[in-house]
Amino acid sequence: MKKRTLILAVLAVLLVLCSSIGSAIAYFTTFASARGGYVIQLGGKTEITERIVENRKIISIKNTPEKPEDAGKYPVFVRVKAFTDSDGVLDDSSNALYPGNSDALWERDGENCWRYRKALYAGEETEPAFTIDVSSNRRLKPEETMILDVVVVYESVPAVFTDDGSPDLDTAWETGDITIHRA
Amino acid sequence: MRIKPRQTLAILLSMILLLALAPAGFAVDLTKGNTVTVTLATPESGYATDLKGTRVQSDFYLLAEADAIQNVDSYTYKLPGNQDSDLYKLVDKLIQELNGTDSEESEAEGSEKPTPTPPTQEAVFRQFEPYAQDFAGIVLSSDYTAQPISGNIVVDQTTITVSELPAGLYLLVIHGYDLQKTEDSETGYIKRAEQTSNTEETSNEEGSEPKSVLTTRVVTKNNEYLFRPQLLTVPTKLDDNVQQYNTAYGDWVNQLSIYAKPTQVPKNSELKIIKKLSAKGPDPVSFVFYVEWKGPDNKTVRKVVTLLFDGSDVEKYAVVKDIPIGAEVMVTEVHTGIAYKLSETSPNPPEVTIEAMPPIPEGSSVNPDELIPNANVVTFINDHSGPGGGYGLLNRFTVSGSGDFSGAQYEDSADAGNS
Repeated sequence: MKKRTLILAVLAVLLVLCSSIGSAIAYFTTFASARGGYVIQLGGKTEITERIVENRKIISIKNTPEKPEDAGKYPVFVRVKAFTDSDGVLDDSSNALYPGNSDALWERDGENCWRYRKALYAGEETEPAFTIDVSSNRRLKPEETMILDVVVVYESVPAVFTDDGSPDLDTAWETGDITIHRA
Repeated sequence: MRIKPRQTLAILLSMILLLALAPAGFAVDLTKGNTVTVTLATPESGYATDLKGTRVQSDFYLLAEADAIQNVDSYTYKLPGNQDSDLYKLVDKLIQELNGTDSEESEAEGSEKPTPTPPTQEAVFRQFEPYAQDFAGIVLSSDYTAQPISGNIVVDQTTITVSELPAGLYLLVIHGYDLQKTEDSETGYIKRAEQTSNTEETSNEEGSEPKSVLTTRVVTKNNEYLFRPQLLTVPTKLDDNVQQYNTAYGDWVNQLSIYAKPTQVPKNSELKIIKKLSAKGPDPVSFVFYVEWKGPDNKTVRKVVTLLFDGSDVEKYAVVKDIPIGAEVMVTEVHTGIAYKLSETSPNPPEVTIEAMPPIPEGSSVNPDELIPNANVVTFINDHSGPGGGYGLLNRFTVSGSGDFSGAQYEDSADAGNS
C-alpha cells in the first residue's frame, strides 16, 4: 500500500525537512475567535491519521498541542465527510448512534457530515476511530480490476460550550461569523 | 428479403436438412450472380445518425465455391486450393459438420438418422460462430493474400450493396475504409475485443473464462463500432412463412439484405477542472467535485475529484479522463470547506458537452493537459469566507474481480495522476 505524507502550512519549515516521514499524517490549525467578545484562541494543531485495512478506512483525529504546556487547552470540534464514485458504496453506519450503541460519539449532522460529539482538547484523540467500509456495486469478472476513489474531508472549528459546560456543536458548526486570528 | 443478423448463419444449417427433406429434380442454379445489401446497424440501435458520413467497406472473402449436388435441390462446397492449408482444413471440417458425416459411429451401427428438427436461430448461431471466428483468424492474418470482393460507401442510408457474388460460402468483414488490415490500435481495423454484453448468447458456458473475439472496426467522430465477421452463403433460402431454416421450403434467393449488429464503444476524452482562489485563508483546504454524465442504460456515472490547496497556490487543476465524447457533463462542487464559499461569479454546476482531444503530434513535448479543448474546461472560483480548518485526502482503491481491495493515499486527484 502506497502512503503519502502531508505536512501542511503551519509546519512549512518542517515540511521541507520531514517530507519523507512515512505515514499518512497531516496537520491543520484552528486559530479563531468568536465575534461578540468571547474569545477562543487556539494554539493546537489537529492531527489526522488515516489507515486503510483492506476495504476499511480507519480515521482518527488528534488535537496536538504545539507546546507541552498547551496540553488540555484549546478545545476543538471535528467532523468527517466522505465522497465516492458511482461505482462505490460507503458504509459508515457502524459509527452511528442507535439503541444498544447509545454511547457512540459520532453523529450525522444536517450537512451529511459525521461529527465527533465531544470537544477535543489539546492532547486528546477521537476515540473510537471513525470507520468507513468501502465496497463496489459493480460486478467484475475475475480477471478485471477497477479504480475506486474515495475522498474523505475533515474539518475543525473552535469548540463552543453552553452555560452549563456542555458542548454546543450546533452553534459551533453553524456559526458563520467567527473570524480568524493567527496565534 | 431482409434477414436478421443471426439468420445469415442460420441458413448454413439448411444444407444438413436438405439431404433428408428436399425432393430431387429441382436443382439450384449456381450460375446466377448474387447481390448482398448490408445495413450497418439495426434501426432500433440508433447508430445510423452517428455512422452517416463515415466511409465504410464491406469485404466478402470467398472461402469456398458452391458445388451443386446432382439431383438434389441444394449445394455443398468445393474444397479450396492446397489441402495442407488452414483454410482447406477448416472448410473440410465445416462440410463434414454440415453433412453430418462425422457421425461414423452411428453409421457403422446401421442406426437410422432421426428426422432433423428445424433449429432455432440461437442454436445455429452457437454452432457456427466459432467457424466465423476461425475463418476470420485465417483471412485477417497478414499471410492471407487472396483479395475479397469489396464494396464501400460514404454512409448515408447506412447500407452497402455488393453485386455479382459467385455462389459460395463467404466471410463478411466490415471495416472503416481508411483503416488498414492490421491490429494497430490507431490505424488498423482488426481488434481483439472481450465478449460484449449484446453478444453474451455466444459466450462460453456459465462460470467459464470470458474470451476475446476477433472484430473489425469502424471509427466515427464520437464512437468506435466493432463488427463480428459473419459467415454467409449465397444463394440461400428463407421462407418467412415457415420460419424454418432448411432448404426444403421456399425459393432460392439471389438478392439478400442483411443487418450487421455492431457493438458501439464510445470514444473518450478529457475534462479539466480549474480551481482558483480569489482570496485564501491561512489553512489548507480541500475542494471536492462530482463529475456526472449519463452512461449506458441512462445510468448516471459519477466520478469524485478533489483538489487540495496547502497555502502555497491560488490556482490548481485536475484532469478527469475517460469521459465519452459527446457526453453532457455536469460538474458540481460538493465541498468547499467550512472556510470557503463559491464566488458569486462562479456558476455551479457548469455543464459542458465533451469534445474530442486533438491529435498529439508524434514526438511532441507539449503537456497533453494543455491540449484539452476549451469546451472541456470548467472553472470554479472560491473566496475565503471564515475560520475553521480542514482538508481531505484521496484514497484510491484498486478492486479486483475476486473482491480484493488495496488502497493508496494521495493528497488530491492531481497528485494521484488524475482520474
